[in-house]
Amino acid sequence: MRKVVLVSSLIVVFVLFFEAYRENVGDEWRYYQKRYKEELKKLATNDQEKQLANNYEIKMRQIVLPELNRVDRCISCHVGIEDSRMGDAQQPLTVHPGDILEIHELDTIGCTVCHDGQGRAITAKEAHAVGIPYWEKPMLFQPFLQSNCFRCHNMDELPQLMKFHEGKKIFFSNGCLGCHKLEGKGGQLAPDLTNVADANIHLKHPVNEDLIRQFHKNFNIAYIYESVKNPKAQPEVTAMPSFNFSEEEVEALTVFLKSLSARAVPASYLAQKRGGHQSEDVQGEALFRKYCVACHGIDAKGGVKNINYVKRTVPALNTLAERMFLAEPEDANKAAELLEKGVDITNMSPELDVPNRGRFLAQYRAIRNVIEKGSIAGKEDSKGPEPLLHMPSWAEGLTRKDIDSIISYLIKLYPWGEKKSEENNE
Amino acid sequence: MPIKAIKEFFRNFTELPKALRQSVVRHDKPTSDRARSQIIFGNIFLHILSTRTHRYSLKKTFTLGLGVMAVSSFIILLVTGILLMIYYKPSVEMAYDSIKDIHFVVPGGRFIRNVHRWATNVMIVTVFLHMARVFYTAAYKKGRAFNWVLGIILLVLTLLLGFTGYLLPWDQLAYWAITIATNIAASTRELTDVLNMTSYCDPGGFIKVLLLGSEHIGEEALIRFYWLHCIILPLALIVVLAVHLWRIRKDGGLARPDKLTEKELEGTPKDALSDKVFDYAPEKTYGLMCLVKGKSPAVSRGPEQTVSSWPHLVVRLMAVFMMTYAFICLYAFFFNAPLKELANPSVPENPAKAPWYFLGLQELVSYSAFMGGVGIPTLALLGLAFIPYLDRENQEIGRWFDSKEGKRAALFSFIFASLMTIGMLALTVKLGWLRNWFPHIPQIVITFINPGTILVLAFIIWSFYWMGKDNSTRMAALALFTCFLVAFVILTYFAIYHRGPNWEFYWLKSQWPTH
Repeated sequence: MRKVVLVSSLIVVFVLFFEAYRENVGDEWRYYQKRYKEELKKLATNDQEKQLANNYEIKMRQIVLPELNRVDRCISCHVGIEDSRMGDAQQPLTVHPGDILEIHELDTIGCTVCHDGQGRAITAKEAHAVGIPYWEKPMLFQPFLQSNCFRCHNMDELPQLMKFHEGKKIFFSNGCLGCHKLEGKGGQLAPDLTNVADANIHLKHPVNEDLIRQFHKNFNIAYIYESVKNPKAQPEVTAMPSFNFSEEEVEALTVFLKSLSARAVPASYLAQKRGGHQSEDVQGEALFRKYCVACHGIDAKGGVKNINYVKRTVPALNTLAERMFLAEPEDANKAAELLEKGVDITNMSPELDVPNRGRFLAQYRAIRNVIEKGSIAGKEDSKGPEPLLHMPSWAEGLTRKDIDSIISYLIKLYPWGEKKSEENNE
Repeated sequence: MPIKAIKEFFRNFTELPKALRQSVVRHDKPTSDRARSQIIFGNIFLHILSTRTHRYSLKKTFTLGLGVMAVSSFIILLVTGILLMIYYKPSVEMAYDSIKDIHFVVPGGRFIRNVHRWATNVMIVTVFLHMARVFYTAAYKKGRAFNWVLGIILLVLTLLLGFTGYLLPWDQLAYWAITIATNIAASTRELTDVLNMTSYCDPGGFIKVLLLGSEHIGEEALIRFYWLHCIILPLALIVVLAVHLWRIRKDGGLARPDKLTEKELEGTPKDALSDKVFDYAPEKTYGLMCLVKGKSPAVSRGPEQTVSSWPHLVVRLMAVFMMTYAFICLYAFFFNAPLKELANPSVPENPAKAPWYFLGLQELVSYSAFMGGVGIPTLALLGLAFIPYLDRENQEIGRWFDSKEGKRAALFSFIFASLMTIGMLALTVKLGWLRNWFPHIPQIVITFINPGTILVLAFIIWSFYWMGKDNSTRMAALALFTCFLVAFVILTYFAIYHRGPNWEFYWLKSQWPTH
């Protein structure tokens, strides 16, 4: 029994000793700081610098950012981050590339608000959080570093972030908002994208291994990328069409989507009054591209497949003029301009001087009604599945003026040239 | 003469260590039985032990040291818990970050948290095993009935301590485990819903709100769990534990058979007085006869087969404590306590699992919330607590499984319960249950007829079968206890390892769907 006491006591003592060693001597940041100190000694040219190098204290270093609720201990290893002499040093001692730290003061901004990663951690593995499944925001790699600028900046003032702006353009011109919502505007058919960069459901349902590896174990980016590149890979049946974007377009779009994060910074951190991503479009074409084009197709030439829908595909809208009894281009232009100007044509304004005025107005009301109220897609085979796509209601998403602009745009899309040539052929 | 004082001062000075030591322990190395006894009753911490301990109580294969292990891990938990309280901040905004800081920068923080976490599991396991030991050696008999009830209370307190501590890190694991567990607490709603009385009588909802301080887990719940975990429950546990230990003394030490063979005492220590039969009775005794039970003084009976508690018992206590501590330390050195991502009420864990010691219950809850969450556990706890009152058969106590018949009953019950439980699980996984066969069946039917209740019913019938067969309530108790223990272990194992997303069955975790 005494032996048992002795042996187990020795085990406890050894474990405590090794733990103390691991914690107080074996830390990797101590090693890097020692290396930095050696570098400093080598670089010292005069007595004062030598003195400074000798006095360099090896200790835990951190940037405390109470307003951001962050503590960034990255500089415990990246000790040379502000030291311009460390340009040629190896990681982690090297200086921050570029002149970014000149405008971003390290002491007030820290590291993780731009780079993500786990600031409180003190080992490289856990701080970078690459492959640490329980840290939702692993360190970002290019080009996704651009996304985080949105946290503090008005992105319009940073045109140099090419990928981001390319992605933003793609987002607003492919009708994503027809189904998705962003900052309160958009459709209801698909998930709200306002905070998609924080979405962590993919931690529970990871996407495929190769993608996760491709994006440095960042589950969020892998998930966004896959949703854009190959929507059909989603776990549930999705109505999202495949857009056949090029690899570069997908990447740009992913950069944009990665910026959609709720973790806002306090007002004092904003570079300027930061706008959202949404701008006020009033022009019919812009609105159409923002909200409608994903289903109704480019130039409204008819759209994507809608399984078990009576008409099989989402209807084309470029023949609206004909359906509204506007037989001549001049009449169509007249009506379109009135609508674009925002004139309320329903009260029989004398300006509306087109033939079949009554039938035109009735048709106009019907079309506006469909946009405002939406409509359910009829089934082709009554026993088949519910069609995935149906026209959502836009009564809250679009103003009457917006709707008029869109109708105006659609009227103008009518292919008069082709029609004329067909007539001539006859 | 000043010289004398100076001399005395220097002598005192050189004897300072010795004098200091003597003033603290007040005796030299004990050489007589009397001195050894004095160590025990002269020390506030040791005097809860009796001065002499029966040899059988020191037999390794009798107690397996389980109760002492449980107390040891509790002491470790107290110390590390108090240390963690210095840095832990019980607020929704700061809790998770404070755990991260404890992990990364507080000196010794990670190790202390690891020890605290793993000691919890050691305590829960040893408390369960200790209960099984006491049951199988019939040590709840002969005046020890209420101490068994205290043991059940300690079991419940231990589980509650583990449960309240689970929420404090405020990570996904904590948040969703507590969500599940409090929903289990609210599961009487299944019954009250059927009876259409939830709107004016909702005991489940009341318990849930009482636990959480709100309908949802938030700041109120966190501060409440913190308060329970750090103050109320440890205090309650210390008080009940004190009574539990005190009663062991008052009941005459650990249970042991009246007649012991030399073979049964093999491997236990022995001293000069162990075999001595006292034949001298003092003519005058200032007895406490009116207070102390039993025939006294013990003259011409024996030998008593006791040994001096110092050092035999004390060194064993130290050995068990240090072994427990060493095991936990080793484990804590190599394995970090789990900490998942920050709690996020909008992203449920799937599967969301309760703490492991409640997973057996969660499996039952997946059949019927009311039965799994309230019905069966209440029945089981009441059944456990009343065992000593329902089985009062006079028998020899202190032997594992009593006798050959007892061993047989336990073995057959083990086989029966294993087959029943595994069979029932296989059936439910393979073929589903009433809801799959008759989609429009009313819920009340499933509440009362589900794999859980059928198991319980089968176990009760099995127990009555043994009662009739051996004409013994003890055999019935043995059969029933074994069945419940086996089912508990199998269900817990099954829910830990074979339940995946949406509580579906999977052989391996690697087979969980990835998308």
